Amino acid sequence: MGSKSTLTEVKSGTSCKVLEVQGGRNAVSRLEALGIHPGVKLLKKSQLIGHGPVTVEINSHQVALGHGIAHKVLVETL
Amino acid sequence: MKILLVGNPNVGKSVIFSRITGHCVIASNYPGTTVDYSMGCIKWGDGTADYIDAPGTYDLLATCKAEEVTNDLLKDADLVVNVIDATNLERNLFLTLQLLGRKIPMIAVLNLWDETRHKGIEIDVEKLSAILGVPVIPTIALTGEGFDRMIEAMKNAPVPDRSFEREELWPEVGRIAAEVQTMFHRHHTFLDRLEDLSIHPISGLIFAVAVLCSAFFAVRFIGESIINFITTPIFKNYYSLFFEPLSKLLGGHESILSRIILGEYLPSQGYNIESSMGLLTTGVFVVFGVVLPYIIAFYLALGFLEDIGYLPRLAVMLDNFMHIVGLHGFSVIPMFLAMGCNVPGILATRSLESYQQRFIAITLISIAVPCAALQAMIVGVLGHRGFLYVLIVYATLLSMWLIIGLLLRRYVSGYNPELIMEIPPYRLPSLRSLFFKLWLRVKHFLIDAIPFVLVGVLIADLLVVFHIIDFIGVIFTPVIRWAWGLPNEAVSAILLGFLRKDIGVALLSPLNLTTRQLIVACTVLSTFFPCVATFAVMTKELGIKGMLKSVGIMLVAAFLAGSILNLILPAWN
Repeated sequence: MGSKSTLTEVKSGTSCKVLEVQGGRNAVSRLEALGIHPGVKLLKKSQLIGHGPVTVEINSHQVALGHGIAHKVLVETL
Repeated sequence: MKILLVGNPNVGKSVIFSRITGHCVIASNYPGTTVDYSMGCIKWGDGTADYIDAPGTYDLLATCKAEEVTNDLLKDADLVVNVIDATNLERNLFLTLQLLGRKIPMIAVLNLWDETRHKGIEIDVEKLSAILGVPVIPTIALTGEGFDRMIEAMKNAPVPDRSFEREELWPEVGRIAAEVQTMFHRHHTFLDRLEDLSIHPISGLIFAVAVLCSAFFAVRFIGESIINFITTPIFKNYYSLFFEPLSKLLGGHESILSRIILGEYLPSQGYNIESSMGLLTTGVFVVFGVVLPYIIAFYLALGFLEDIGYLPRLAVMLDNFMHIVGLHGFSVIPMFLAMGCNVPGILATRSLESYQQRFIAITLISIAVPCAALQAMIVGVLGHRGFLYVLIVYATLLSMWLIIGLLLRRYVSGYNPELIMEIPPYRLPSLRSLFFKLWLRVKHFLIDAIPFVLVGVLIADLLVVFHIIDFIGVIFTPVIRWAWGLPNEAVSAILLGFLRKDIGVALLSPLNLTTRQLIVACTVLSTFFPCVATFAVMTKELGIKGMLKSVGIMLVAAFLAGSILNLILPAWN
């Protein structure tokens, strides 16, 4: 079991498990509908420099998240 | 009878819709291609039924305007056809389970069935159907495979009897997927590697620059080739032979009829298709000789980028940049569409989440994103004087986009959500659907453009023939002459730009403007006021109050931009 961190902190290429999604109700339900919810496993694909967006892969499909929202996704590395 | 196609964005609903109804709608490879619904008719028993293509949605809790449209449509649907991306069962089932709870007769189709094999996915269709309690039909929308069975199943669609609380949705999706889906390991393909490369912080940026440059040069190359090798020879060598005989038929060069239909006869060169301003000379030439070639070129390049699935990746790469103007990366897509025509660009902002973002995006589009027709005309009248001058117009528009965007971000208050976007896999575009989409867009352009351009030319001629323009010119002298340094006659070009921007620029060409005047006039025409079609859709999307605010910003911006250019540019004769 790895340590707890936000999605913006883990390195690209790391597999993690989502622990908690913080943020507004709207953002939480949008993420939920795209498959990012507590318990799901995902792979962080990339993050652009300078507070850039984060791209993750869930079930071999990719989702891009703005930096601010990615910062509110708490994960543990696997 | 109302039949509704519902599903996640980008699962092929529009392709199914086009095939079943024969009614043509645009389909691409990015989430949010359809933001409004389209309706067609199909035979149903002895009568007909309405068949509706709803905007894609991930969730029945609507979080943007496009999703609200779908929610409203569901309220009075009699039959739901839930389209599922078979390669992404889990995420799609999240919506399917919610749909079951609506208790509307329903079937599900597993579209993109052919792709499951490449992706190493196996789905037990019968088991899935048994669990969901509705028929499940595998389909391949592009070829129409499975459609007969789908239509058969629609006739006896059962009312689902399962429903779930929101917290139960994902656990249930997980259970279903584990039971019906088997995944095999597969090797990385070339497209997979390209996917990784195009969102990488460094290689992705290089790739984006390369794609944008190639797109730009492809559009120029295709557009100019059509002009140089097809349209110009036809107009110069054949079409213009008919002007003299026709003029005699209409009562000579000076008759009013000839003046309107063929335009002004210049003693030195006869009728000039570019500047005579007749319905059959300049009117026809603007549509077919200048604008159409670039419309074809632009939409060919755009269609390719759309269908391969590059636009969402560009949105990721430009997410940071778009934050400068208070938007997020997705708004790159409306901006791109707007470079073809502002109207679809503005409609595409429906996928943005908040009114504030939509106001900023729509205002920026209508001021500083020139449509393909306008760009073609600017290149047409300014390009042969020097490419630098065209560049000045573009640089001015880009600066205005940035400055106005910065100000709007600061002063428009409201909720400003961040990018949350699915990135579809790269798909090799099918040539058939690529050209079909191009044809839809070209047809749309011709239907829209021809009447407006001809009416515009007609009004311009009448204004000149009856000397009305001199009168209007005097009223606007302070702005047109003193601030922008343009002759009074330019007022007709700027006013008629309201009908269509391309005709506005065309009206500038007989005025013998200096290069500085032409740059000012082109910039003012681009920014000053939206064309009537854009104006209508702006009002619809922003409401009257929002539209008035947006237009107010526009008028001030165009006035300042024209005046500043007039002050700082050298005269260049």
